[in-house]
Amino acid sequence: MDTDTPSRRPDPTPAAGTLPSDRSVPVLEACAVDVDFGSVRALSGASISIAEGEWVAITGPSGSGKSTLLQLFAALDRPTRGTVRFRGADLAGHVRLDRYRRTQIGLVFQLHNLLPHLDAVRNVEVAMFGTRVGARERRLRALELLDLVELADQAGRRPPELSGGERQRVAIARALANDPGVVLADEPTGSLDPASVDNVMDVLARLHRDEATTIVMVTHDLEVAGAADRVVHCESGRLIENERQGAP
Amino acid sequence: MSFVGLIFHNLSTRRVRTALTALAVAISVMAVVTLGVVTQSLKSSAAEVLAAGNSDFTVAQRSVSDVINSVVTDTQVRAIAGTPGVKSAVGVLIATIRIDADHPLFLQIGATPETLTPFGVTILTGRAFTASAPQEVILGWQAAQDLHKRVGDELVLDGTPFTIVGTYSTNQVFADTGLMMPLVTLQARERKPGTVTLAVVQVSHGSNIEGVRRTIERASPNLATVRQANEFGRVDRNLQFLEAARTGALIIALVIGVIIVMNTMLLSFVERIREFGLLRAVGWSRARLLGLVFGEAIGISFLGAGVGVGLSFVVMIGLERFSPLRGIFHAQLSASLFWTALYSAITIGVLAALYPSARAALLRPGVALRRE
Repeated sequence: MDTDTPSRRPDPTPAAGTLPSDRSVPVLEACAVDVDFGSVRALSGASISIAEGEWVAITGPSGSGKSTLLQLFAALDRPTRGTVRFRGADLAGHVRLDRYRRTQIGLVFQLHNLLPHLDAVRNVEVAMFGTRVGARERRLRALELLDLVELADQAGRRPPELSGGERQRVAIARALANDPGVVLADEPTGSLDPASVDNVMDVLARLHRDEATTIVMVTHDLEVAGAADRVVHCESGRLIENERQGAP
Repeated sequence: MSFVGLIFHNLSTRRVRTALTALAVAISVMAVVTLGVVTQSLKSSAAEVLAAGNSDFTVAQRSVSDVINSVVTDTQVRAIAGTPGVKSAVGVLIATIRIDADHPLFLQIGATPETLTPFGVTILTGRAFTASAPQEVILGWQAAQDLHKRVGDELVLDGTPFTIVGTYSTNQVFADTGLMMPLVTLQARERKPGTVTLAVVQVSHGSNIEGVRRTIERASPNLATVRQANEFGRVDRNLQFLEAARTGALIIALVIGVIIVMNTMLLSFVERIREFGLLRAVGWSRARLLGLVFGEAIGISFLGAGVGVGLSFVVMIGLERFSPLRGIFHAQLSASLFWTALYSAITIGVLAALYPSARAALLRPGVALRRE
């Protein structure tokens, strides 16, 4: 039995260089969320609300729970207590979380998580299985996305033949395969050299600016976090700081 | 890239894993196919004993362990011949003899010269033996080739020299790899005076064959009539045992195959946990993941079926040359062999994929992605 998935964002494409005007409807919310892994509490009473088109950076030391929060938003894990909502709907009520992951969000992982036996274009295509897009269209779309991340000439290369930055950009292209309204990026610049960091951040910035994509980015790098609209700090499983960039 | 293309791509880029799993399937397929062919061949060889001759049906002792041990008395043969509707009933005695290490179960058929034609014998070279010349034999054409004998040569049986006066064909492998001699000679050598192994019956034109069979069986309850291959078990319990042994061996071969392939696939599953977690994370449904694992299993099954049939050929060629089976085992290859291989391989592949694919589908993506 399929449960209605919350509708896609209503095309909130803003003018270039501006933020979406309507920030009243949270696209993602965590309400008093606890997550326990055995006897370890990874998140404790975490609450956060992320608006449409917002770019939020979640910072904090290793083991502070920031990646766990991202996994909850991606419906990869379930909270022990509390609720996680997408556009007001509790994710726990979704039978078809796979559809939610496929159509509403795009995931970028710290360790690239590309399939090593598939070349770059196939790694992007793989995210489009299960949609109504045909094989030829999938290939064209994947090539377009690789072009977007400036890797069109690397389409036939497998991950071991790509640099760290290139792999991360392939991962971003894959995250965008189904035109999601939200990109969830877990340490997208972790383990990258400065030039690659700039490349990746440039792609994310363009997405945010040109497509009004909502971005939730986990990073331990405060300089990288500075690109976001808002920085939320995570410490020992608690969201203890919530600051808006550029606020007086 | 299509979904099927992805399946083939996965198989082709993981060659060692694919080859090893396919080999495990192939070994099971080889066992299944070879067992099937061997038992079918042995059944056919045994059945040919009963099917010899231009008969409408054959009469033998009911439920003996081996049809060669069947005993039908001359009196019973005469009674059968006198049954209303019977045109002719000829008795033949069948025995085996060791000629040398290559021919441990050489077939001897004892018959009267006048029954050779009703028995389906065609003389190819020389002539038939005569009833008055007890040291004469005729050789099946395959036996003559195998023993390098010709008309006029001598053949020694248990120290007694016999003259080969002709070669014959019955169009049945089992009979053509043996010899024929006068009935009384073989009865004397086997110390079975007045008895035969089988009675080969022809029914008069227009008579009801089934009715004649029922009449004979009612008159002699210890006898059974056999008309079709599936009835041979009525007189030869070995055929029933052979069939039961074959079924048991097939089940064991399949179970072993499933366990080996499942073990290989489980190892592969552990190695691919992160991959499965990643596919779930990018939106793959459980059903699609199941489809991927089963698709790969079926692809491997096809490969295993092909390799298994090839291995079966090699084994069967070896068995045909294996001296204890010479003259008894004749590999009969048919289209059904390939279907058997395919069914077996897909059964093994699908059953072996059930547990690993269920585990893959039930993985929580977050847990899978945390696995190192």
